Amino acid sequence: MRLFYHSNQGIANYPEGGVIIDMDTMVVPPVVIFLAGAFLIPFLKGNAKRCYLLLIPFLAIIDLVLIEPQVYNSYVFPFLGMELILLQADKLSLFVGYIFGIIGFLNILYSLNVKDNGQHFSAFWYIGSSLGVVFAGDFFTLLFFWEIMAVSSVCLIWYQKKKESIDAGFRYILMHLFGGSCLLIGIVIHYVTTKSIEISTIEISAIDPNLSILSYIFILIGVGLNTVFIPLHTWLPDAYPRATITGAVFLSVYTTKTGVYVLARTFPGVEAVAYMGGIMALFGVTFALLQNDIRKLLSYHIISQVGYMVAGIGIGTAMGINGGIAHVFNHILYKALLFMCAGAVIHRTGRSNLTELGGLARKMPVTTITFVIAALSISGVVGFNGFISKGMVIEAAHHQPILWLLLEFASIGTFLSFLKVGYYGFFRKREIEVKEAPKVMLIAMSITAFLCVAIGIYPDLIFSILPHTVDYHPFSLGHVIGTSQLFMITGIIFLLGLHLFGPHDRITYDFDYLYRKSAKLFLWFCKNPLMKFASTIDRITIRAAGTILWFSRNPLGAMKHIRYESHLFYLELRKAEHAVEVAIKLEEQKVSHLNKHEQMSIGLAILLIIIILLFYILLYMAGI
Amino acid sequence: MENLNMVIVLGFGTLLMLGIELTHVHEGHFPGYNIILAISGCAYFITAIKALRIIQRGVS
Repeated sequence: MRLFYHSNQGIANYPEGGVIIDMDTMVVPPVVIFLAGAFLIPFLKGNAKRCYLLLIPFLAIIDLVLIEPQVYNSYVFPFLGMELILLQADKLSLFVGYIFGIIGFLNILYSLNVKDNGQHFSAFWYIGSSLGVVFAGDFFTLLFFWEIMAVSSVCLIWYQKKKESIDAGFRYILMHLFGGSCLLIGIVIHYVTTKSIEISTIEISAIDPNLSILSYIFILIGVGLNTVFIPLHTWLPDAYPRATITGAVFLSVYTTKTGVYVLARTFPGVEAVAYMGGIMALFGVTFALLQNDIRKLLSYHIISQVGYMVAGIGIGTAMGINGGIAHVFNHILYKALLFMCAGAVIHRTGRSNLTELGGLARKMPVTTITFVIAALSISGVVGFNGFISKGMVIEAAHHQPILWLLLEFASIGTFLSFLKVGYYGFFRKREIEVKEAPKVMLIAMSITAFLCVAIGIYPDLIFSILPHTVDYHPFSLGHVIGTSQLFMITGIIFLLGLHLFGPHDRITYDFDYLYRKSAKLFLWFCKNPLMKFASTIDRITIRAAGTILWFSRNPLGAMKHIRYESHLFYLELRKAEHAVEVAIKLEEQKVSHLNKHEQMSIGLAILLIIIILLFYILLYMAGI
Repeated sequence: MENLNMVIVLGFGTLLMLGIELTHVHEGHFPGYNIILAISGCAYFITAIKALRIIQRGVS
């Protein structure tokens, strides 16, 4: 393959059949570093392997820093008359790319003790393909990495190697294949209507509104499935708690946030999307409060927090989009930290249910401190990173009272939920023999916790790299006091009604209950009415074929048979005496049907052929 | 002892909350605004948890 280099001035005049690489920066698409880097993992052992595992994300972070925040295209691959762009960077993609790189490094640090090379390989491909989606310059490249992301992420569930994980993995991949197919259909229709594969805002075109509505709906469903729109969200709380301990930490970061990124590119400022965000925020946290399994509870919180991001993007103002995207950054940090803490607890205790936990604060102090930091961050308490971005989204929703109320209620619910986890998991009195988490886990957790606090105290760290200019003052007296008061009252109500929020070890049903019931109904429909209908059709076809065969073996005999049959029927109706004679003739005809072939005279045969031809000509002239 | 701790925490929380409320009102905000919001939010979640548990017991 030939390589052609170009500068930022443009790519219009390049020879066909080559790959374009931007010469000014000479950066590599971050996706390549992870995808190629994964192949060496199986050949390394011990400390060399550990160093290598950390080196790859470190190189990717350096590469990300070198990519300049300006719109340019490089690594352009001509394909079927289109240009597939592997690296297109602007402020939005770089912002998401930075946090994907940073958390990739921290997650790999957290999972350094994992010996299974397959898990590391899948994780590298998962991170790489997510970065591939973020820096894709066209819809087809995006879709290509979108599918790799689905396949590599399901391996992180299957590596748990339990029956329930394998089953959940199959359900996960089925849902994602459905979403990917919708996205593909939407992109193809979009290409047919606009003749463009450039990633841009999806709008209903006035030229061909029917097709563009179809494209709009399919792309929204495809993106919405990864962004856990209700009721397409069931794969998340089903699969994430069943992944490996480290796999769940990776999963909590990439799939949903890549979906949010693509949503910001394609559907900013869509009011329905904003309200969907509000519903997700409240729905997720309501179901989280019902959970007993700590990782399932955190999975429902992903839905809730992604709801804030979706709401911000749906509002579509500079404040809304900045808030939504800033929340991607902050959420990745505290949610990864929460999954790390949950993983450390499960790793040491072998338990994941709140009903079986308690008393961990004294035995696992560092894990407890990092958990408290993450819990305060996700709740949006002053001084922690969630306070900054959540405040931006709620501020942006101020002119939409219903949406604003949904988001405020979700915020209260989040605080209640983490008071519950904190109390029942860590602080209530219970005797438990357990050691603190391994050192590499603690280092990763401490760095992530530090970042949560650092951004919470000094929000300019992310404000300076947000896609739009920031006009927001998080530490205004009204905001600080209002938020603190809200949480203080919520805390008092929690303490007063502690027993109301206590965990239960019952299974909770979500929309997946309806899906499973519908699937059973569908199977019943296939087995009973549909199969009966099919066997009836089958029987009729076989009988018709048998009759035609019977007729064609001796046509004149068959006609005679029919004549006797109808004659006999007529005579029996009239109760005529000579019916017996006809019945005997019919029996004789039945016996001789295959043995004695009747012959037709030539004249009669020609007459019949002429009649058939005439009939055919009449049909032809009538245009049937 | 545990009850005493609870009383201390609740008492301290209530006093702090009242102080904040006074500051909030002094800032020009509607009095009791956040209190109403927090109470109605918690009431929603308590009702939702109860209702969902009853519904789920029915379908299981």
